[in-house]
Amino acid sequence: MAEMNDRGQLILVAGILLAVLFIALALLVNAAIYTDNVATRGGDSAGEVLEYQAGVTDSIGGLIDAENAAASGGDNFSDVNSSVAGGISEIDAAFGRNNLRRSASTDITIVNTTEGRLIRERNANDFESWEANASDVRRFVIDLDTDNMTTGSPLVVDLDGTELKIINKTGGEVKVNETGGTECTTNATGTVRFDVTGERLDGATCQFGWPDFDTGSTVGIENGTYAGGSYELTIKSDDDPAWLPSETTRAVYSANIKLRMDTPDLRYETTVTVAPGEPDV
Amino acid sequence: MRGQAHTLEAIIAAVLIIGGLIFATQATAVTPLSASTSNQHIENQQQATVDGLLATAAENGTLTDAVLYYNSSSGTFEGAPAGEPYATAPPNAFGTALEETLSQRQIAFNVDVYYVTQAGDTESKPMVRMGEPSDNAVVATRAVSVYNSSNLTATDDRQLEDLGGEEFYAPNVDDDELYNVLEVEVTVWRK
Repeated sequence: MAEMNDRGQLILVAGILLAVLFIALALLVNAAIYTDNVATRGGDSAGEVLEYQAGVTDSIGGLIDAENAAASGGDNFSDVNSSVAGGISEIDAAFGRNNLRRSASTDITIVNTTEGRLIRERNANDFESWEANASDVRRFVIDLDTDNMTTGSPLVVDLDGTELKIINKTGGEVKVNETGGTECTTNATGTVRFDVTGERLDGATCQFGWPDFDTGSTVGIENGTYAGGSYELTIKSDDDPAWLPSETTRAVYSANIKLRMDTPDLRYETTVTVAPGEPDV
Repeated sequence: MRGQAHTLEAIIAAVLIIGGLIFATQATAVTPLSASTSNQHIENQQQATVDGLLATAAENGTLTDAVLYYNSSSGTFEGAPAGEPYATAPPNAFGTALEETLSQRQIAFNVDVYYVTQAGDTESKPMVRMGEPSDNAVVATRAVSVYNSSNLTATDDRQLEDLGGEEFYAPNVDDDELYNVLEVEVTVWRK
């Protein structure tokens, strides 16, 4: 009889022991998951830095284009350059304050800027013909007014030897033809956009193969009189604007910017070149 | 007799241990609404989604269009109740992206636009207000700059430099072409 009583006690104790073990096991598993979570939390600490870099380059790119577009014919490069520098210091201050809310400190400094020319003609009945020295070209966009194009006679865009013939054919068709190469056509009437650096005609790709520009390269428009509308491009050059279309102004072609960001996780420092609309070649 | 009892006890103990293990494994399953540390997985996914959404919107220009989708006479974004933010996704391309990426997956979001004041402080203008974020909310930000030559994208399409002092929520903070540096902050959480 005494033996039976002992057994009941044994089972009771064993049951309690097991219950404690299970609770311990559940806690252990939970702790393991929690540790895993903490260890992998915020795994992409570079994301914050890349977002900062993208924001800064976009802001400064837009600033350079806005200052260039607002410059007048009489402005010197130093006038445009100091306006850009003023804007960059405002951008630096704003980014600094915004990132401080997330316990990160940032700094933007200008390493240098490159002189350029903003060449454009707006709402012209016919374009001027010109040629300029350009060691780089960015954001070259032509909005062709098909009503002002001479049917059958091509406007020629010369990109350092790569000649693009832009022609309005009878029947409302605009054709871009690289001499001895790619041919693109579009049926649009009214205003047709040819994004030269983006290699797009009326939104569709037109890959003629953007040439490599270097010191001594040239860019120009021939037979300008055969087409009208608007166009705009920024070139890396110090040519006298007097030789170029009348709306040409001195401009900032690109800026080298040094960025720094210190977060609790990492320190990031890099130098980026901001030249919006420059083709990837 | 004793040997038999011990064998039975061992079997019962084994069953209990296996049962306990199965229970413990089941208890840690990740479900969207499980209020535990497992939510971190969901947070990571939401963070990646909203980071990508903002990067895309900034790249194709719809983010800039959205911050300029403003109605100066009602003092708020176009189409929102006077003086109030939107209660759902804004009626523009950025709003469509928010709707398709977040709302359709039962994810709620608030959007605020931070801007610099003339005194050099930072203030915010709410764009979308869907409620109070939960404890598991995640935040993503993206900066966009606007310039004097930037046009409003709503019915009113004047350039920022042509607007009067109080007609746009952010003031002009630069003497030259820069108008203001805005930061769009999106807070997302599961409804």
